[in-house]
Amino acid sequence: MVDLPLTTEPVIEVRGGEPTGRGRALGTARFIAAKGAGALVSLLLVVVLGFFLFRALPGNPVRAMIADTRTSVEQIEQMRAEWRLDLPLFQQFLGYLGDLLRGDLGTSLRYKQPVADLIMTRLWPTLLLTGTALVLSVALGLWLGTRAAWRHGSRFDRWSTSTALVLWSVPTFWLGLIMLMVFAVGFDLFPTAGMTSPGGVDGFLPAVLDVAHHLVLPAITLTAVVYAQYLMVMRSSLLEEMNADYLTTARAKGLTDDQVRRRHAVPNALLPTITIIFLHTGLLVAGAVTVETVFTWPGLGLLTFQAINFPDYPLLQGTMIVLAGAVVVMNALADVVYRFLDPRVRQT
Amino acid sequence: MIIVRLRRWGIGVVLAVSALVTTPFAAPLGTPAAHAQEPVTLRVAYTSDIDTLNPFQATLLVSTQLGRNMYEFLTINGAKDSTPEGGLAERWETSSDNLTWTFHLRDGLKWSDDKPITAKDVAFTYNLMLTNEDAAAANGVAVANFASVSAKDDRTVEIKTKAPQASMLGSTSEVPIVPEHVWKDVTDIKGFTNSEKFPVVGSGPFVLTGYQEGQSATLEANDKFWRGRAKIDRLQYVKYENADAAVQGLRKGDVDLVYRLTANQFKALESESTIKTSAGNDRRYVEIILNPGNPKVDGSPFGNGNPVLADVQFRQAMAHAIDVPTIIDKVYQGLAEPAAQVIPPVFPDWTFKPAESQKRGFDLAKANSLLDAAGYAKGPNGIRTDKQGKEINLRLLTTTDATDRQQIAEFVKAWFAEMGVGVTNEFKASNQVNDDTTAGNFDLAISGWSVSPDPDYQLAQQTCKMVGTDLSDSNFCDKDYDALYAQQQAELDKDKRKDLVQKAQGILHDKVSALMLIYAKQLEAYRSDRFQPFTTQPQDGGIIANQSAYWSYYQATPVAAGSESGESGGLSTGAVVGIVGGAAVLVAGVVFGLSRRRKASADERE
Repeated sequence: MVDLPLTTEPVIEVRGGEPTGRGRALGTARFIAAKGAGALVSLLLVVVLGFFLFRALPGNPVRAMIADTRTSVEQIEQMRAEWRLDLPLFQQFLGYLGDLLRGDLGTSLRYKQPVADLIMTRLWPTLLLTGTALVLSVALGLWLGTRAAWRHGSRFDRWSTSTALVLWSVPTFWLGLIMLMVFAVGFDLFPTAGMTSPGGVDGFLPAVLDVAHHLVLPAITLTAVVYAQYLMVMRSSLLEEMNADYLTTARAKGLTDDQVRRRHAVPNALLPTITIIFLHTGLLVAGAVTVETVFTWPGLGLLTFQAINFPDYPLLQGTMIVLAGAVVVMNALADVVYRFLDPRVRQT
Repeated sequence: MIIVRLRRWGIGVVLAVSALVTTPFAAPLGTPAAHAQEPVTLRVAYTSDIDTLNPFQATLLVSTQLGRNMYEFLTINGAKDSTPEGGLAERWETSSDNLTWTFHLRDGLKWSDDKPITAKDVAFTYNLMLTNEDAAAANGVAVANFASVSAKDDRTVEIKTKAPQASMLGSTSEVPIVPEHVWKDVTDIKGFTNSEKFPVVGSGPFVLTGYQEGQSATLEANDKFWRGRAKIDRLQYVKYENADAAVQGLRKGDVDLVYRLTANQFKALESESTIKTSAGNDRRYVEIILNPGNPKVDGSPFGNGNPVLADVQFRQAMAHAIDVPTIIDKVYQGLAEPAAQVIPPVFPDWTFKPAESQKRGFDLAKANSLLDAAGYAKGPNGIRTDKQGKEINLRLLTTTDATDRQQIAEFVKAWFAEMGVGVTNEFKASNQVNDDTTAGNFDLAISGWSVSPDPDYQLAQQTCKMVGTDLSDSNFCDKDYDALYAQQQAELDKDKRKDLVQKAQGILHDKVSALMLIYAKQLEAYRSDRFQPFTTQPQDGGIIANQSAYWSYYQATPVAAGSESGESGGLSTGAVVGIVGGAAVLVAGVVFGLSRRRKASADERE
């Protein structure tokens, strides 16, 4: 029963000065509008930068196009004209911008299909894989991080933290192949490639199970290599809260250790973690090229990678807009959500 | 909070899930009874890419391979040695002026939808390519010399050419014939994917019945195929992004055939009892191309190659300084053949057979004496100088994605040093190497080509008008060669043409258009417990996948029923539930254990 902290809680002071009613709603609207405008400017920059950056890449789509086939000098000239590659760079850019304003992402040089269609077919496999991995890794990371911090220095802390860090540092490619060899080939439990069995499966439920079956190894691999970041952030932010005075208060009230952790420490420690989650959610759309490669998961990351190798300019620009768009939107969203979660932010 | 609930359920959950899990695992997965009705399926793993299934637009190898199984051609490259033989056409003749070819179709040909295949379909296909730029995208070269194509009656097609064309059968063996009754309604050839409506009407040994972009293509045996139905029911192309994963897929039985293995993967599979490996003679060669400083066709200079490369004697010396047998032994682990010229021996009619006096071996003394005689004296530090007194140092470009080529580059550097020629190895991304070689900003570069059965196209790459284009092989330019090339192009007498092709390659050899290294072997492996040895092309020691025809898949024969083991029909629903449950049990077990631990320690503290 030594020095009970009382009036120094900053939260209480903040609450005292909080604007109410219409004033606050207006502020929020202005805040969201500003964030939206900022996001739009970022996207515009991505469009411009992306175009010129990709043109600076080494490579020649014509060369890639004719790699496996027989062609003539005349046909090559035709191709260059059709793809506007014979025009000055700035004119190419204006053409691209014009198409974009009309909502046309263009046609892929390699697949000869509208870029928008290609991206849409790849988007949901990506979201399925990375989304599953996100949920798993966040749950695992937060849970282990909380326990590691609460018992920091214990054997559990040492083991869970070092295991996470080892998995984090392991080359994804290597881990994926090991998983494949052990669980797909060795134990014969999972398929070695793809999102579905070749040719697909008839019926809705079998099809869902088939996808789930194919999802297990890539999702676990991806989770294994990323959950450490959530664990570490959660652990360190909870450690910072550990000695806070309000916890002493809570304990003094007679709450159990569990209640103190769950109702008081964790909610406060969660704030930085939520920022991290939002930032990573944006990046998740980019997929996980390495995991997608090992397990032949037909995702957006793989499509982008193939587009770079070609280089398939329209496809590359299209994927760039989608990937960058996801990051920009999630960042803006993180700012907004944070404002609602943490009253202190609303003041500034 | 899941954790809390789990703790309450405790052992109950673990036990329940365990019961669920053990049930499906008790029975072996994929019992024979369940798969008695399974169609015989050949699954081929591919690691490259499918661009489109539209045969007029498809340029990537896997796509054209699918096309060869979906559509029959007017003529087809034979299994024995790729010599063209009858496909839809059973015979043909040429007019006395060599400008008109008349093809006679077989009797009773049918599309997979039971409609008759007639000469009109053939004329429709060729005319579409002649009139529509988009339809010429993939195979325009084949019809570039066609003046007109017409159907004289239901079984007779007449092709008139602008100039006599010796490579006619080579051309007709490259163009899939499509059904007019399907394609006449296609208004946008470029945008048509040919994978919107299944089955896709065709005439080849298989019919495309399904396509999952980036994952798999499924074909079923065509009952209407004129040679008769294939012995397998289904052919599936299964995508693997990663070659090592494909090898694992083969070991597990998810796929039956894997091709383009690395030497290491190949050697590792040799010991497996259910897998048979095959190192087939391929139609690809690897070479070191050079920039001899020939101007482009418009007279403008081409890049910045070292001037010494224009000297034939210097090039001959270089050819003597490369120890190809050592490269084959050390880099390819014996799985390659020394290359003589641009047409590989899988095409025995056209491959170069050097006279005894023309043969060149690894001989550094000879290389040194050639350079001495040509006046490239050694400087004080052992490096030779060019005519201007400048030390000779050559840039050798190699792509970073091919370790075999990087090893070759290191060998070449060491050998060239022994004849006093410096080599700077530049390892770059393959796109960068392509950019540099197309712009002429290089001295030497390791390169390679895949060769078509008719020699015309490959020989055309060595002509003067190709220098500085995306199509040139080694930027070679020689008037005598160009004359011989033109002669063989118009020579319809095969024996005379063979002679001309020999002479043309003789010039490439004597003047060292490039430093020829090896003819590659395609390393493949298949499930010998499921399939009997495949028909290769060429029949004697050739390749299984990537044939210039459909022989291997059409004639694929399953191992007699009864000895079938480990049918890969996919897992049953129960097994899947079991597996998901298995994962759950693991998690539940861990959670349970941890929650107990945590509770104990929490109690201590409270």
